[in-house]
Amino acid sequence: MEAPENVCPLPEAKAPEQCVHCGLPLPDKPILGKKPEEQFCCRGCSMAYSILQDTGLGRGYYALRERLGESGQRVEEVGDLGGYAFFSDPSFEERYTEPAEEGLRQVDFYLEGIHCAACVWVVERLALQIGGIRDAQLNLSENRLRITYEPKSGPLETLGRRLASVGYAPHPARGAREEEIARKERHRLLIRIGVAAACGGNIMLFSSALYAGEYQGIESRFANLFTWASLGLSLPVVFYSATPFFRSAIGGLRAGSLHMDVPIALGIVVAFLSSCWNVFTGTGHVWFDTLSMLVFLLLIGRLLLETGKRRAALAARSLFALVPQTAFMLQEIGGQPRRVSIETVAEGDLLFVPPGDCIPVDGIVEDGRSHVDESLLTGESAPASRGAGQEVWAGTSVVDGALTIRARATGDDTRLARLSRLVEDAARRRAPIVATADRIAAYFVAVVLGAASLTFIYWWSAGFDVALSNAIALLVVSCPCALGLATPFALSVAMGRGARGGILIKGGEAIERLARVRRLFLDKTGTLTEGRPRVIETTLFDENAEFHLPLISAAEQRSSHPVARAIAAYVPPAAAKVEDFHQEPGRGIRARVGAHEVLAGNAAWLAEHNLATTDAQHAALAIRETECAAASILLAVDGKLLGAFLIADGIRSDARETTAAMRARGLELELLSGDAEAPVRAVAAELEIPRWHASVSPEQKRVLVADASGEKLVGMVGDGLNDTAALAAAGVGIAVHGGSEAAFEAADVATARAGLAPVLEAITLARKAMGRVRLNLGFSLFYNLITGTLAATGHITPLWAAVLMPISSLAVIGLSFKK
Amino acid sequence: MDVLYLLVPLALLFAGGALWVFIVSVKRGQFDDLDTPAVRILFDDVEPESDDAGKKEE
Repeated sequence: MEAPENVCPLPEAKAPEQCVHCGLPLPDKPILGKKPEEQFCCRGCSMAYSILQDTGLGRGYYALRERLGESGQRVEEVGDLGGYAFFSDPSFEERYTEPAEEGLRQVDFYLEGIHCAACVWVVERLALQIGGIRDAQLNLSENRLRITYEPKSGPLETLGRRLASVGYAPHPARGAREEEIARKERHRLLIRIGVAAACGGNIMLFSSALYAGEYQGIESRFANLFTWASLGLSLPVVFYSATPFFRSAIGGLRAGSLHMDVPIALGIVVAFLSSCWNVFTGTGHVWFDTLSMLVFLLLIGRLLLETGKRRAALAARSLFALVPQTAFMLQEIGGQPRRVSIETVAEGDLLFVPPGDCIPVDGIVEDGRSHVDESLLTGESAPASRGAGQEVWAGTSVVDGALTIRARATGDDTRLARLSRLVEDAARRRAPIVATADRIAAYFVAVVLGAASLTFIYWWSAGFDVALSNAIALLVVSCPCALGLATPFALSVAMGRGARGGILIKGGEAIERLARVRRLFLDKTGTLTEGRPRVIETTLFDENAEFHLPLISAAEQRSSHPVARAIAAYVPPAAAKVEDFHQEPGRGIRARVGAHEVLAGNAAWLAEHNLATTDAQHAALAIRETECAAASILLAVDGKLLGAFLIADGIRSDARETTAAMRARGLELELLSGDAEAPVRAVAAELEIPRWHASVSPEQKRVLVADASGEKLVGMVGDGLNDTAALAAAGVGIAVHGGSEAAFEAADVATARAGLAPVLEAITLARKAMGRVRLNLGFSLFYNLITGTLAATGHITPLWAAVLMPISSLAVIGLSFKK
Repeated sequence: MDVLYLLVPLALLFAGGALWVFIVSVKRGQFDDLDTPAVRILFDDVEPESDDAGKKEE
């Protein structure tokens, strides 16, 4: 029966506007799942979703994520899951795993993409579902997954593939042994604190009784009981908890320098010995309470310092793990590649590098032809064509063809490694600021010791006990703990704040120098520009040409060359079938799309196909090329020239704002780049950077930066290996997100967010932190002066001293947290 | 107040016991990660949806 006409039609079921997995908006052509409401923004999210559904974790994960109010994250499609076969290799087990109890083994992985509690839930459960995995613990703040597994069942490969497919690509954690050592150190410190706290707390209870007894009277047998108990309890504190201070003081004295642990050690020893003496002779004050609380509070200060440093170090190490560890070795050209650990490769070995992979050694190409992305070493954003007989370098990546390479230099002998050593040498030379701080501390300590001695002598006439009491009070109260804490604490709070904002600062000195930076050298590629070619303009010679552009885009989809990717992203591809695809390295592509012959490439490529631009067209393009520092890709369909795409490395959206803001803050900017003159000049002009240098080699960069480090403090911002030596030579090296491991290692500061804006944030943060430090130092000096005077003039007993001293430390801590 | 001769050693014994427990838990790594456990309490034990999900893979 037909529906009556006046019935309102049912509203159409509205398709979701967001990707079901990551919540980001859908593109015009979303990827579809099995059910109509399953729509995804990309294949990566679609894959992640289906894995979650298949393993039964989908419902729980999405529900938990919603309950926590966390957002999703786009999943990058994983190209090659075969790399995880390396996890089953015996050399992997030897290098990365440790034995655990009951014949099991343990291994740590750094995971990408962890950002919330729901991630913890799903990662652990995914891991536990795999047979052979006994335990999986994810540490959220460190992004580290600890797996305990049965060695024989080889579950790690499955784990790797599954985690990567859901968006949490795992990387084996290197430096596991140093991590263990640091962990044990921290345990020892915690135990020392525990002992000092337990003993100190009880001693305080006893001394309250004793102090009450001084006012109300106390039977001598109980006074003795409490006093002896206090003595006994202080033994573990002095001989166990306080030993780091003694060792540090003795070490300092032997090296001829007086540093802050000397008065502390002295105070503890003097207080302990004289208290023991007083116990045995039955007269006078005892200061067990003072010294145990002192030790306790100082150890807490140390713990805070160590935690701050550890956080920065961990962040650094997790990024190191992102470098590939394997290579494909061949017996002969065209033979069967075998995956091996990168360490087993020797000079003369034959290696196979497929498209998309990183070249693991310096070597000569024996077979194959490809574009190689050498931006790591040269800063050139355009890949260079490399073929048989040509040299290639470790760290560069193969773009579009496979290469067979004979290794010439491996490991420490590669150009990469040699550059890193330049970095280390430069880094070692950057200590003068530390030396100054030590000298000031030495003066301070000498003054305090002198004042304490004077106090003792001055009060000698009033009796030994009084004199000692006042001297100890002075030693304790002017203990430069607040001074000692003031700087490190404000700095570690700043480091923590930075880390939460994606800025990793590798230590207090880095903050100090960041705050003082007045001149900034900027790298171009990847820092000021996107680091990826983009289509910035289309020139059409024919008004109908526009309709053919999707055909070209469809053909470009088949290539992984950065230019192809730029075109494919710029124009939505036609849905036609692509056949007879051919890519000529250094020239262009050719294909049949649907019923059309498509051609795209440079002038030489088109000339091979008997096509050419007219003089007018050529001239017009040339003008735009120079103006925009770009290159043209000519387009032809069915034998007719259509037009051209203008391709350039686009300037980051935040670059202009940030450089203007930097200038407003009084920073002098200068541009350094390994790229050719035209693009560098264009970028400098666009961002109003007065001084710039083009075609600069890594070694030249270092020289430029080192020479500039005269009166003003110089900072260097970069991301690739070609900046590494310069990063180390600069007063402050800042590695921008997306850069190489070596740049990260060389830099003092690294940003985990892309773009230049985090650099400015880091500098602002540092300046504020130094202001805080100066405030803290001023306050604690002032406080020390007042209380020290009070102690010297006999107004403070050692117990009061022990209480007043930490108050200044607490005040300093409190001030550091104020926004 | 003679009871103090009993109470003081007893109290110290308790303190020693607490200290020992602290040391053991530090050594076992319970103080290594203080952030993630705070997040774990939010998890429910959700039953897997389908029958063959959660099955151990080779």
